[in-house]
Amino acid sequence: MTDLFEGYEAAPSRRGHDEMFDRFGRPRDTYGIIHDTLQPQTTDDLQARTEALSRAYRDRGVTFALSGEERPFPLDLVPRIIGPAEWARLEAGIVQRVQALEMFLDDVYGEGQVLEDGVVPRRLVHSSPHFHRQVYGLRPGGGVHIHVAGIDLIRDQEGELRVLEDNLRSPSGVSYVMENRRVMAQVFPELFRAQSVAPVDDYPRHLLRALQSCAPWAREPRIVVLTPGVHNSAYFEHALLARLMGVDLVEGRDIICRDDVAYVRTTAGEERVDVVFRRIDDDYLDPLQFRPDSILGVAGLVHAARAGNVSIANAVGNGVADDKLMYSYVPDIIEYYLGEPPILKNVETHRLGDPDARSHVLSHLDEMVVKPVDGSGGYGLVFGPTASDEELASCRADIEADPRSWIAQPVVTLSTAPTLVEGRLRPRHLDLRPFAINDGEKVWVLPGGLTRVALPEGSLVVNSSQGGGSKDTWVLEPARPPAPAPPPPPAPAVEPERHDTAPVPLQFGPADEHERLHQQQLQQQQEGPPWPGDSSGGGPC
Amino acid sequence: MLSRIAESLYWMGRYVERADDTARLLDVHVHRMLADATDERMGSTLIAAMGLAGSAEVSDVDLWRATELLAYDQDNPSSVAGSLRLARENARGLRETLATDVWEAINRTHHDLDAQVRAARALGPNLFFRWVGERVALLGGLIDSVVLHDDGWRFLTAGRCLERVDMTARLLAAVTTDDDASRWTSVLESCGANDAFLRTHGGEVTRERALAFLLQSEDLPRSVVFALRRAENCLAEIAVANGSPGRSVRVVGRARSELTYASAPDLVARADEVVEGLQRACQEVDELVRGRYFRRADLIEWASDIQGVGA
Repeated sequence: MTDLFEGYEAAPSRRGHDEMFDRFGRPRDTYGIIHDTLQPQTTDDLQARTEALSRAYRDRGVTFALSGEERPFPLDLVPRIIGPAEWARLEAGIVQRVQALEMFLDDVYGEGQVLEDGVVPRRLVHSSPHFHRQVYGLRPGGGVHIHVAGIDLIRDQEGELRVLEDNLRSPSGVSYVMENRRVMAQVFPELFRAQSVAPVDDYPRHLLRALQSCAPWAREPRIVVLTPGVHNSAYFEHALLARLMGVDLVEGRDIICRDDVAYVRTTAGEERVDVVFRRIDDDYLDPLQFRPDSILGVAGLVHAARAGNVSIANAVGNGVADDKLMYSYVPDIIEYYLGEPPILKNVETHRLGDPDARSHVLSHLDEMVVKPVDGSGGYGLVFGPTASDEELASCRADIEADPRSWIAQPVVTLSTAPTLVEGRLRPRHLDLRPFAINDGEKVWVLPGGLTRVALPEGSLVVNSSQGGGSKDTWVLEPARPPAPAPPPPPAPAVEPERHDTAPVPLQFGPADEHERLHQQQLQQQQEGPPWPGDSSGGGPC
Repeated sequence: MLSRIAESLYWMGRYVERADDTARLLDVHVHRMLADATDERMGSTLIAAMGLAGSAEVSDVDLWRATELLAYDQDNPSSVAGSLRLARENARGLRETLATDVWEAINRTHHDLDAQVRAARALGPNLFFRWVGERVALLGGLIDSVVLHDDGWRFLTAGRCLERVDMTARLLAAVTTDDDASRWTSVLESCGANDAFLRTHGGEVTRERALAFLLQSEDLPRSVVFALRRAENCLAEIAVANGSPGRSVRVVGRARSELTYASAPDLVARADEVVEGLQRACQEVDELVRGRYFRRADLIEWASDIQGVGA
């Protein structure tokens, strides 16, 4: 039997930090049980489980379309584990970040004190393509802009988790977190046996509560999930969230706005809508305000929100707080609003509008990642170490022509974790996107989040359209106090009562007689003993 | 119709349903265990729910042993595999009565059983539970769509419904005192009722709502009231066709109306009592049905064992 981990340490991508093994090649404490459970497995075992996983995903429709073919979303069998102490710090850091960004959004769409105080340049905010004047001064229902947030984190060479990006518009991926856990529990239950993993199925309940609390009216608000439609790549997620919250999943054409009130069309006539959890970008949300050619949106929705008749979640215009340039100001924003240092660090970022930073970056261009300020999804990104000379030259020219549109970051070697590739466990790079929900009173973070894995060797791109997969992400619960004294006492009080009467036994049909009959019926047909020497059915003894 | 045929149909219905429900019951417990690896009493809870507590062999088992015993062990008549085997034993004597499709479906299930158990031992029980669920759904669909809806079908259906009531009561008995919303979600899932619940009540799962939904809902095909009503109708039609209304109809009807007209808070307050009452009612109906319709001569052995008579 070959060891699944054979050759792991020698793999070329095994540089930097590994999630499972420390630098001496020993499994870390948090991974002890997983490592010991995986070790004795054979390639065939894991392959069979992987197939069961893919089949479950195909059956449930957790797929993405790749060149016209429906593929199951690749889920790796080896979970990613976060220990209780690290999680506590991460959670605090995410809560802090979301709170500060929430206050920032409230400020820039209101009084603008932060701009007044010069913490963030006014020009920067007002020139952002995601700053929407249409919602200036509009105070959203419940006072919340960021109902859900996804904060992308990566782990650097030193093992420190840093924030790579904030997603405050409609971050997706949480459905995979829930589905991954469900499927993992089904196909690999042994892994869960000896440890307590924080559950992830609370998400829809928290989301529902947050959406209810931002409704313009407190009593039984009607909530809908607004999807672009069945062909959207995240449609599975929209449907899942709507189903688990027990609310309607609607498309733009199902809603109409009249006299600043939003209604859904039902068989019983039009019914009023109080909260729209929209999964449509700002640009397409309301053709009266944004792109007039949008057929996905709802005409008049923003007006209805301004009139206080409907709440839009997430709020319109959040993009101003999560673009790449604003990202570099987030540590300052946290300091400014909360008066405390940021718990989670950013990746070092050079704003190329600044002459010193620019000259530094231009002289180290081949060691940098250069990103356009308002690009997303990796578009326009120049990766220094692998770029050709021409690409670097054109990048240099672009920067010099319009320095404010670019930022640069040093190349971070993402941490790796064992991932099943062709029957062996191999180091692959990964990131982490935890999800936070803000109900206006407190920010709740779903334990864990989505871990995305870059499946090609050495690749740092974790997008599923580019060969990325995911891992079930576990937050271990702190070890419980060894002697839970309280539970036993109440038990005796209840149990004798229940055991007063004997449990009702299952009833059975006349099976025994059936069997005896069958035996005799069988003997009837036999001319003699079935084989020589067998005399069990024979004469009297 | 022949008593023997009626009896086999009734038991086939009960065993098929029992296989499905036991698989569902186990699935919930395995999932509960995953959520709370430290609860060591779960295996025993499960054994108790199946009415097996007390025998030395099964006391003090952990969940994995309990799964082995209640899922795969063909020799244990109350296991999933055992129930499927007994269902086929009964169906075997019904080949001329049952539609060919039904017999074939149950026979194929029997022949695939070993392979499924092997796969489940290697890859975890969920695959097995899903397979059982799919096979039983197929059987149920065929029974409802190709079998003549005569008295035989009514015996079969009454058996299925009574078993569903009994097993749902057992499933609930194991969790009635639980207040954790996510556990109630898995209970609803195990009854195939989670989506229906969410459509009816929205995403706020509470113990009271879930319990009342599973016991009382008139629209949920897997609710206790729904199954009781169906059993009541079948038994009433059988009784009328065979002369007179019977006591079994009365027992089922009383159990149903007690549930239908109880208030939800009251049901929840008396949950333990209610689910045990349901199990007792099923037991009583079973005895009444046997007594009235399946009366049979004891197997008469013209014994050569003279000593027995002499003594």
